[in-house]
Amino acid sequence: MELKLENLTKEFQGFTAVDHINYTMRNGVYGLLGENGAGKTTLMRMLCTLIKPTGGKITCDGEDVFSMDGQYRKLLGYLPQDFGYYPDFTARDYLLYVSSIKGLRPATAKKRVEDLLTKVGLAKTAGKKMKKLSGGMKRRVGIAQAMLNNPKILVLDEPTAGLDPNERIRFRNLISELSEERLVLLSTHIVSDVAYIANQILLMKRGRIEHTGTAEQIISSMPEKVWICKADKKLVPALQKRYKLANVKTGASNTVEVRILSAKRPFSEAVQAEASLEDVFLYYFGEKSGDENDLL
Amino acid sequence: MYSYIILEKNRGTRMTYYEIKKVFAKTSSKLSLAVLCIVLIVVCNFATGEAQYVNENGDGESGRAAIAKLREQKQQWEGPLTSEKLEKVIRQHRKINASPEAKSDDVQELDKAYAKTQGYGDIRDLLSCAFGDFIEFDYYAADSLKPKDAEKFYDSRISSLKDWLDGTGSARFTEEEKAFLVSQYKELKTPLDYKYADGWEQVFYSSPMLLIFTIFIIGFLLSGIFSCESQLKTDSVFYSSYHGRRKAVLSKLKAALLIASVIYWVMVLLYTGFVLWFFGAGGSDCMVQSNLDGWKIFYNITIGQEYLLIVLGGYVGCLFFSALLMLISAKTKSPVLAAAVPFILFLIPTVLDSVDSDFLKKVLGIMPHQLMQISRTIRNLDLYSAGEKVMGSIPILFVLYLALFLVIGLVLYQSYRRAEVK
Repeated sequence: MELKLENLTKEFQGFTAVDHINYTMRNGVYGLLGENGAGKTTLMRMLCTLIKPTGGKITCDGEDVFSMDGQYRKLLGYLPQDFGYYPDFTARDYLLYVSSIKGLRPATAKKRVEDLLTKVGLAKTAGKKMKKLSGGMKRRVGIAQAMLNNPKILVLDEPTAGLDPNERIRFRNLISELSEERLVLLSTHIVSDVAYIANQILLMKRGRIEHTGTAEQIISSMPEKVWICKADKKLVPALQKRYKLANVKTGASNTVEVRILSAKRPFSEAVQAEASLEDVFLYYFGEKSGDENDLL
Repeated sequence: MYSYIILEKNRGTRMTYYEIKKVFAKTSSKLSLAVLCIVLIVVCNFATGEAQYVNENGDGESGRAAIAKLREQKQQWEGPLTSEKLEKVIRQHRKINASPEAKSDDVQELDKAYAKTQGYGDIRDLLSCAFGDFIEFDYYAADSLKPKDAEKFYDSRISSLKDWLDGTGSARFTEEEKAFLVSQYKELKTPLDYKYADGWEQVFYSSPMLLIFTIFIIGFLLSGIFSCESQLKTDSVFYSSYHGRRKAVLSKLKAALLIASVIYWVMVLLYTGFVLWFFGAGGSDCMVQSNLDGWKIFYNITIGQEYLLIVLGGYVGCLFFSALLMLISAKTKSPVLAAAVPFILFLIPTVLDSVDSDFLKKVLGIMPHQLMQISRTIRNLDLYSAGEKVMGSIPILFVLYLALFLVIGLVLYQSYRRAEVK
């Protein structure tokens, strides 16, 4: 399975959401990282044939995905960022309905739905109406629906957004488990999720893929180093103006421990630390990128 | 191959089943069905509640048993409306009018006299129609008739039309249209056969009310079928699925067609069944002109055929309104706006009806709301000319809105198939 993006472009009334992307994906987990508005969702929607590109093309094993029509969608599983549901359907009914539009035979669908309900831990609540499920449960139904047709291409747009830490860990494990022998494209601005499960990371900014590689390659691509030092709390605004601060941790008696991104040692007492993917994210996208509650 | 077709059909049926489930899983949909049941009860009550029989003592009786007595009396006058039969009615009527009861000032006595006229009341009304003013019905026109007038009964129908066309109705029609109306009147086969047909009369009378309410409720139910994915943000999963842009869209259309059809026909058949059970179902093979309300109709059809036109017209209207509101729902993603479509299309003609313009009246005559009130439309003398061809509004309504339904269905399918999730 090879999914190839060739000069892929999408413009909305003069605004270029996706800008001439060239990239090839094969089996494995791809983590798409980028700030809000970077074009991640637009790219994913094009991959799912929900919107047509204004330029370039997407091919699946050499064939244009829009020409493949249903045959391409047969290979596809998609969990959208704003996962919607039919509030008066039970989780089981919802999955059976999606099975029918995914073209599963009724008997196969029934078995597959029960298997997936068990897998996502919803076997006991399958008879509950969707509107009565918690956010995490709904998200789990979302991943189950994406997996119904055992897709060769699994596209997950912000799958862990809004989940509590336990749900997030559970979710990450589930995605790891499901990622065998398929192409998984995972979009998020929660860096730790990508670091945990992605084999390849794509950093997207202003509609372009700026950097790609493994977590290690991405980290080593950052020209700046990471420094940790203690400073007076009053100095934080001045430090923020001068350096990129990856973290500010309040300590005792008006001191703070700051994590600074800088090519040179900022203070003589600063200690160099190992760079993380979160530091890279901050370096490329700035402090205001992403969902601030989830970022670090 | 055969098993593949069965499997595909099975999958399609399941999609349709879930589309229907989406509609009826909502509490508002269940409530709207309850409202529809109430509407049915009210309309049935409206159709039967006013029916009365006056007994020989001049007292009014109501209920099914009373109607059976009235039917029995009317059935004594059944048969071809020949000059002899009409003469007999005129004689009988003159005799009753000359009786002490009819000349009395006492209401009870007058009612006793009326009771004796009930059996031939329908034929007396036809005489009033034939010999009275063409437009304004004169209930008492039959009172002044003499037995020898009976032989002019059918000629009078044609001559009063001609008089009207030469007088006040002249400006409404072209010469071809006038000739068409006269020829339609002349083509009516006489003598007319008269049979008791009160059941059908009542079915026709209240049918517009029932059909309009049914359309409103169907509109409400279907308004979300093509916008719910966008409203609930389930469109991404829907369109990215294997059948999402083909069979699943067809399933929506199938579900809508099924919901509209089942509700429409259940309502129509329950209503017809109840009213005919109450009044009796005879007379469907008589010409519509054998009844007071149908005397002026220029379509030479039987009462049974008129019923078919009413229910089939209503069904075409139901399909057209359903398709239109679903298209609006799919385009605007607003079920509220879509549900308002039938209201708007019924409201506009009501407002415009008061405007005195022949052109506007012609346009209003072929507006889709007319399909829901064929029992009224058929009684209008609306004519449309295309070259030398002249026709009434009924065939135009059927062809136009059936074609529009198909076109809208196709546009709806194509637009939903190509929709993008932005």
